[in-house]
Amino acid sequence: MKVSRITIKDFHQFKDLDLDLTYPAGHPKAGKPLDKVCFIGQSGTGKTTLLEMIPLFTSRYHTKSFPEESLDYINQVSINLSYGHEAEYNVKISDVEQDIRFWEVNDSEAIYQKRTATNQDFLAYYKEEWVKKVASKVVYFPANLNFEIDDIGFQHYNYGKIVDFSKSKVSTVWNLLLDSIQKYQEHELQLRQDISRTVEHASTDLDSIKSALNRLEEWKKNEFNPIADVADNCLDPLLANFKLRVKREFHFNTRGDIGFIKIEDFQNNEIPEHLWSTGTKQVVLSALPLYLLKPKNTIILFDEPERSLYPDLQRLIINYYESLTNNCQFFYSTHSPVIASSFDPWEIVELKFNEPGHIYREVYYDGENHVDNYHLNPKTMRWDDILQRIFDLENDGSDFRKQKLDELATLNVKFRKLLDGGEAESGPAKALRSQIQKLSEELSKWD
Amino acid sequence: MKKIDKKLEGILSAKYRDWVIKLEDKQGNHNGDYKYYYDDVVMSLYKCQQGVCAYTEMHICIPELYTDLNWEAGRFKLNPDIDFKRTDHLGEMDHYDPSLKAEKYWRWSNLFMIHAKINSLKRNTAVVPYLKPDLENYSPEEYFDYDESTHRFVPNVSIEDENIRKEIQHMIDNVLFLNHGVVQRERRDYIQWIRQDIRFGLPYVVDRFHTAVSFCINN
Repeated sequence: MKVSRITIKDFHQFKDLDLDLTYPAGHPKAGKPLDKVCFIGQSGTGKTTLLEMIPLFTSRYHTKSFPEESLDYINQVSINLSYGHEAEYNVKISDVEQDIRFWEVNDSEAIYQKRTATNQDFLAYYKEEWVKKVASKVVYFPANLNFEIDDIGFQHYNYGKIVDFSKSKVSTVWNLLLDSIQKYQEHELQLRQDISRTVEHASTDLDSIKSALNRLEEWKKNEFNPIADVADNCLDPLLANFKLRVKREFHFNTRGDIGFIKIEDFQNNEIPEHLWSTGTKQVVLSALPLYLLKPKNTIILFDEPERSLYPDLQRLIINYYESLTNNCQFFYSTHSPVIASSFDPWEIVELKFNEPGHIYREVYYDGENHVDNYHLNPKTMRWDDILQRIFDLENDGSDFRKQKLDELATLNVKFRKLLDGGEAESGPAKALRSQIQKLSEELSKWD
Repeated sequence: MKKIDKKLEGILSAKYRDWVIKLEDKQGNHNGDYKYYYDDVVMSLYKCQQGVCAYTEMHICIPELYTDLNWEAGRFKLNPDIDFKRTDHLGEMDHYDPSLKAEKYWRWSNLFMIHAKINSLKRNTAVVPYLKPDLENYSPEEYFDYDESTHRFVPNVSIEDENIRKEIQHMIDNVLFLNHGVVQRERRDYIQWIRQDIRFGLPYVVDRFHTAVSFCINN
């Protein structure tokens, strides 16, 4: 399921905004919905509102931006959605009244859908097959992820219409794994007890003891270990950046003792949850849900994925998140040039205010929307260049640096004029040269 | 920021020129007609500015758009044989003195084509009148100096009046955006290319950053 277009007639700061979210001409996937989209723009340009628009139309799910009672978006917003195994269904969805949703297949075929189901094939397929059997729920990671490690131990935690981590704690995903961890640990415990019994009853029968030990080793080698799986395939590659790893061995008596995932340093010292850094939490609590929920054929929304992450990790996470899912469309909203550098230029939706204060999309191509016509490409640009050309930052450093550069430029010009006048060896020229040298060293040291 | 010859008599849009002259003489009615002449003004300005941003001197319009071939009966009419659209340029129209925008928005002498990004940064910032690039006696060398090492413009070091220096610095930073990171880097790279051509004895044509090139190469 992928969104290919968002159209807004008149809704708060949006006026006549038409966002084409398909690959441009000349791309192998030309005309198909983008696999990932990155909203960038000044605060207040509506990035989060756009993210939250999506579950409203795909799942009738109300968020902070679109509470249950909100009516102002009615008749003003529509999204084009593509779904089906071959993306064979392409619909335009809009709400014409509070409880009346308009599904438009093409110009000639359109229906009204009330809350009661209709027999229309494409709609019935969406409601009965696609959403229930084929696609996972939409997943929403808000900017303020709830880092509290809680709500663990519920055997059947229910997420509702979408998996919304602005409402559910991210740690709830651990419940998906608890059963298998428990079974694994119980089985291990049983094998260890067998060894103890063998030792107790036949302490001189080395063959029996050896055989019991072999059984444990063999079982460990072949049995799927859920903790090791999460460690190897999800968290350890990221945690290594913090010199941490998932703790693989732990003991428990009851299900409640298992608790949440445990982290240790490279010297095997366990790091208690309350001492996890926010960066560690951000990594664990954003990667783990994607790994455990195994989303497929759905849409994943990430508001400010860069939160608390050092730039070296920001560099990796977009591709990493994608690798954890199957045929999903990602929507990100970010202020980070490092995050932006993970996207092709057609995947970036830069939102700007025009003079009357309405939002428009700044495009990076000239003439036709063709891959060859793009003049900016965050993937090939330096991060400082992205800051200046895309995020419109004027200077390459602080105001103080700018002031010092102006000062240096002025000294250079004065010195050059003295040189041109044949006064290179004069007192003022020597004084200038010494000032220039000092200032140049100060500035270039950091260049 | 280089000197721009914008004499109204010389521009290609005869219809617009007549209309403006009448308005200046308070004989004409300007209701709605300004939009009617929009492309005429844009392309006439580009012709006068030779396709560069009037402030930063970045290249923002290809000659195929403002060529003499795109004019018919005193109006702009894009030659259908060329592969470009009338909007295939990077500029926006700026009202140099924003205080004239409300009442005299049609005034030719207050209009310049500048890079769209620079226009969005400049907005309604106050300007100093003596740095308007089309003034009869304007000369960038009188007010600016260029440092080839940092590739930055600074107020002319011979100017001793601190207030004037501050005014020029204000224009550099907040109106003309001459040292904006992107502008400065593109200018530096352009000058380096020209220097390389010179070193290899290759012919070169300067089609942008004329003022900086003049400071670095010609002096």
